[in-house]
Amino acid sequence: MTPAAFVILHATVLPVSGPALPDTPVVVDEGRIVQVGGAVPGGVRTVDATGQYLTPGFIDLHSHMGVYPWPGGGGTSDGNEAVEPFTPRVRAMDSFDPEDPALARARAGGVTTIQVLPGSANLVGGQAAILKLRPSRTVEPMQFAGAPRAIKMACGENPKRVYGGATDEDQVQTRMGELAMLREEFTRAREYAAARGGKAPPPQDLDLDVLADVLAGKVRVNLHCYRSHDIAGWFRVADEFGFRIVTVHHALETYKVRDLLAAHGTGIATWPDWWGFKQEAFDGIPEGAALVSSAGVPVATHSDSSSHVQRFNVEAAKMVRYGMTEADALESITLDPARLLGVDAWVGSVEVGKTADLALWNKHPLDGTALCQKTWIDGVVVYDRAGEGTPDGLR
Amino acid sequence: MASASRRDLLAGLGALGAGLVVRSAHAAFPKDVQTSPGTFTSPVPPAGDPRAVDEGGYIAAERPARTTWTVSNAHILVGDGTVVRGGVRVEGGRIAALGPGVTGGDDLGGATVFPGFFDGGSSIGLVEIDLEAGTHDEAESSDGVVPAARVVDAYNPASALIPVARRQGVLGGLVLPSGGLVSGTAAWMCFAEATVEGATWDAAAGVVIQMGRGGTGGLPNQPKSRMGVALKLRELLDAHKLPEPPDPKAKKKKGEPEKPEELTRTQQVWRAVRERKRKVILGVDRADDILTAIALAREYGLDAVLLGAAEGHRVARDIAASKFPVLLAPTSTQPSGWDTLQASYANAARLEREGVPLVFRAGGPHNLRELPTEACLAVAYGLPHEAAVRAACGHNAAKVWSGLPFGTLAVDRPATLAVADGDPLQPRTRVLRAWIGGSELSLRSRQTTLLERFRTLR
Repeated sequence: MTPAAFVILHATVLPVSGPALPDTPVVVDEGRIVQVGGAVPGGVRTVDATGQYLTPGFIDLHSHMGVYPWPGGGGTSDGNEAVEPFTPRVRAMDSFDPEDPALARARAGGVTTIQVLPGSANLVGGQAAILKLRPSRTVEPMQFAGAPRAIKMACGENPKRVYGGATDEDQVQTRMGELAMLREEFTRAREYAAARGGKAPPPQDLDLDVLADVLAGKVRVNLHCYRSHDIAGWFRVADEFGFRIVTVHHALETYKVRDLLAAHGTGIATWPDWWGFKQEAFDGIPEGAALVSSAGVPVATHSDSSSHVQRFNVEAAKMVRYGMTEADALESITLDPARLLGVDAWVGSVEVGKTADLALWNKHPLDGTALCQKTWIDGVVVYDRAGEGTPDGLR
Repeated sequence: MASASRRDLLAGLGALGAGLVVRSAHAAFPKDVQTSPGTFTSPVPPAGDPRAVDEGGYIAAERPARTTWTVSNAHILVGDGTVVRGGVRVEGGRIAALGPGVTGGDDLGGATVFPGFFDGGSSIGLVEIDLEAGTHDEAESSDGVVPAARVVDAYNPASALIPVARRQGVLGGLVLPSGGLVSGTAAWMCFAEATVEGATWDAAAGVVIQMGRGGTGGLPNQPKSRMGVALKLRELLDAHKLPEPPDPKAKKKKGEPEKPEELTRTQQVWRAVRERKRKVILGVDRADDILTAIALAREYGLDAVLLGAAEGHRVARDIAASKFPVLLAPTSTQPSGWDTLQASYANAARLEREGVPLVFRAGGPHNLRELPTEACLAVAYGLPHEAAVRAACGHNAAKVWSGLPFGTLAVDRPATLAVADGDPLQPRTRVLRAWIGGSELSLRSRQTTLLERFRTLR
């Protein structure tokens, strides 16, 4: 044990990887969980959590914090590089503002890891930033070391709406146009990938570099997609080119084709109850996530909102209202998003060997009046309600 | 916990990033994915259940509603903050008895009876799909000042959004026009009727006026700055003075009939506002805008309600002194825009502590079912539970708009109420049944139809 070691005592631990553990000590040293249960080691700092609940830090697969920082407006709108339908070259980290006030409020809700995505104007919108919510003045210290690369793609109404009004005949007007463009682009990427390793490599193309890596399975694909027929269409193209869609985001009609997702090993990231804001969202039903989960598909609750992410425990509780088990609901904000990001070796559960990204709650976190009391990232306290008051600084 | 098949799938996912799993273009799909029993339940009554009256969700007109009934063995939230155990006996659509003495009828097995939820302001019935311009009727944008435009002339009682709200126990709401400086006339609507006439509780609930940046814009007669907002409103109110009292000295010529005053529809609305016969609903968020609204309303003696008040906690005493109630959406109180930089989770609790009457609203029309979640969040940040019930379940609304037929369960009051399987404010709780005026409502919706259709894949 180092001098920095500490033990959280008497909490009910909700490890997510297993059943609840009443009155169980959790020992943290050098940023890692080194002991769950057993005898309390002597000579280490203690955190008394009597009557409280300890969970893994929450993970949001769909965040625009930092790329649409608050207060919102044209001056800070940095999420959509809507200059053409394919911009795999752009990176969310290059827009990310670490001083977005929403970040501190998310920490105060027990959120510790986020995937920051570019917006959904483009068919391929750019590269994701997978970040830990470490308080920081620049984005670099927030990077989740070891996290696989990830990219944002989008289909359906948004690219059509953004580019459909253009008179330029190269722009996209319909869903069939979107998929034709996708096939064209991946055809180019396949040729580029083949030539890249050859004797006469082509001039470097920052877009095709990324898409070639997608084809090589080095980049996880996040697809913004609502409609069942859009999902089926994208699977057709992905199967043809041999890349895998790891997570379908929003996914409001995936309950209709959950067998297709199961067969492709594709997970979803969705809301418990959003629907109706556009035509492709009109068939969203709140039981959709539970139906998809029942088909064996990993389901992550996502926020897509700098406000809702602050109450991620309540979002999970609503999943229970609409048919999920409590265990699956907690998994949907912890371990399932960790798996879909490819970081579950480090985070997503309270287990020995994992990083000490933890949240302490005054009540069971699925109680709508529960408030996060303390948040740790890498074993460091990043929010303490007793000291800081509410996320907005009031007491 | 994840099922065995699910674990296998997740194990497969773990390999990604290291190497690609190439799939055939025609991967064989499982023949069917059944929902596994035990992991999926729904409170929706199946088709054929007598509670599932029809797909559209209305009480079928040809089916005589049973308005005399009894439920018992319940935990009853009266609505005013008190809690009693026992039952409710309803006769002719009104509550005939309530409390421990009422037994028999349907045994609710300890479930919670409460007045239902009543939303303090949304565009439900005026908008179907946000991004489909053809479904929008909430903003009469021909002019920036349209006080006589009435939402009851646009409200669609067949909107698919209404049964979705009702299914979670939201039985009615204030429907607001938006846009411009003076947006139009709001209405309190009941969420269980097939016609606008039948659904209207109050067609003239107040004239909606947008203040702060919200009042500025490019419509004809719309101001461009906060200065202009205050100026234009004062000019409008000045231009619609109360009529001079009759001069007692003036000689009245015999036989000459009194000339009735001819007022346009717009003038009639302003006259009603000046006479305090019509409320004004003032949209404000920034603290100084709230003070401006209060000052203006006092200057002209208006019967005002504040809508928004995200920064209300900063001027809570001033709001309390004005006696103006607040229509509040707790989670919209985020520092997301320039008018709400000082927004706080503690807003509702602070306002309540100073004695400001609160009515909760959920915000967007698609998720009025979020109303209890909003109230629950306010409880998490210090609002007493009973105060949250008063603000979400219609009690306060029916005080502000006296005569609204909901919000308190008491003898002789209309039997408008709902049953939930726990604390109705909690996000895990489900609403099981609901009645308006003693008639049981269908809790089916377009969404439950989709659920039934895709519960098993065929």
